[in-house]
Amino acid sequence: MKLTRAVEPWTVEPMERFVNETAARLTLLMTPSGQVLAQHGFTRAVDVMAAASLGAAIVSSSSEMAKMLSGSPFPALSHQGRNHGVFLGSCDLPSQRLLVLVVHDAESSVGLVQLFFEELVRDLAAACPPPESKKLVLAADFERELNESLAALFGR
Amino acid sequence: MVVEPTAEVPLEAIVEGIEAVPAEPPAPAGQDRTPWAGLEGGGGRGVLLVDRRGLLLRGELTGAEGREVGEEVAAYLAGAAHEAERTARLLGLGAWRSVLVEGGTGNLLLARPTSETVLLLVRDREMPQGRLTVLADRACRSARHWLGEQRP
Amino acid sequence: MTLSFTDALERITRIRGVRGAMLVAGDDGLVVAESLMEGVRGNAVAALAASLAKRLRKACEAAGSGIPSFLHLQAEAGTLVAVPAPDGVLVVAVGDRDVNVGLLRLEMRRVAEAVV
Repeated sequence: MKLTRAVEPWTVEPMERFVNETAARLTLLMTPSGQVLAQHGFTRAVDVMAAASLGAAIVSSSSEMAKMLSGSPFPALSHQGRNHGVFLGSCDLPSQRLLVLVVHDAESSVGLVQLFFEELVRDLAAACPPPESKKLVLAADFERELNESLAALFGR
Repeated sequence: MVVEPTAEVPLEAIVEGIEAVPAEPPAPAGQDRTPWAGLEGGGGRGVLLVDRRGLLLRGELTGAEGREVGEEVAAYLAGAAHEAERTARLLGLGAWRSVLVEGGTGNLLLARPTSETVLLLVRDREMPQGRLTVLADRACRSARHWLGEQRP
Repeated sequence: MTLSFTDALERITRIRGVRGAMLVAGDDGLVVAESLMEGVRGNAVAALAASLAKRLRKACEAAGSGIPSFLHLQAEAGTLVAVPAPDGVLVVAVGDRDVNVGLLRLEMRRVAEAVV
């Protein structure tokens, strides 16, 4: 069963390479507003949407705090629990800024995730298509696009 | 006496550097994992030959309580060998050749007879590391010989 | 005797053929302290050495040989050596292929006992 699924096909290879190298349990690639581009390891839509929303919110709030403290946002955040760790990093691609949320366990480490995150950013930048002019999102298209995205992310 | 590897010499004989023993009659089907048995001298606990998926190809290993742990250790060796390969590659050290581990009660030496296999030699701590390396070199030669014989 | 991180690493890096020495948080694979020659990637050494040590520990324990006290990866063009210290710290050194591993082992063991 394929565990990496993507709305944007160009993200698949970099994501799969990252997951193979880090042995991450869960990985999400999303926009700063929490829109998911690719995911690995999630089996339920409700989980991926909740994780994306929470991850985006954490990055947003910590960025504001970083601005208050030093003027520039934190490049990455790491939370280490007893059994799992959560890593949140951001990358600026030519066309857009993306966030990456990674959940790892004792099979991996935050050091490995950080190391291969650098590679993921390089791979995504190389694979990313050139920027397009932004199209207007119409209400009528929203539900259809949402359903297409969910189908791409969960194979349904 | 150093024994040159031949098709008729069990690997332990070469690993231990003792005189070659005659080839045993072919083992019955399903019992082809004992060609290294009977050579427990020199603090030897076992030798394993494992493929890159962590499956045991040949050998036996006795654990702390006298239990056979070959299959279990083989499963861990695949991950360890993969990590050794990746570490050496990403740090610019070239291809890995061996990994020596000094444990509390025994020493392990991982070596790479071929790019597709890993060999593990386990000995008591008393054996000097240099000798362990020499034994592993010999075991690798024998393993390559044995693997060559298995080709259809 | 307790050593400062700088003094501890200097004892290792003064051995001929050593390209760098580090203290690494074993569980996290992160750098605690480092003294590296140019071109040696500290974060990569820390993450990979810690991961290798973790996997070898599993194999060593499963083989009934106890907890590792010394690891030596020999490669075509270099050497990586790691010695576990108390509190989950790893003392790690990267060296040339022909570095004196015996001397390195002795010094790293002394550092592991003295550094934390």
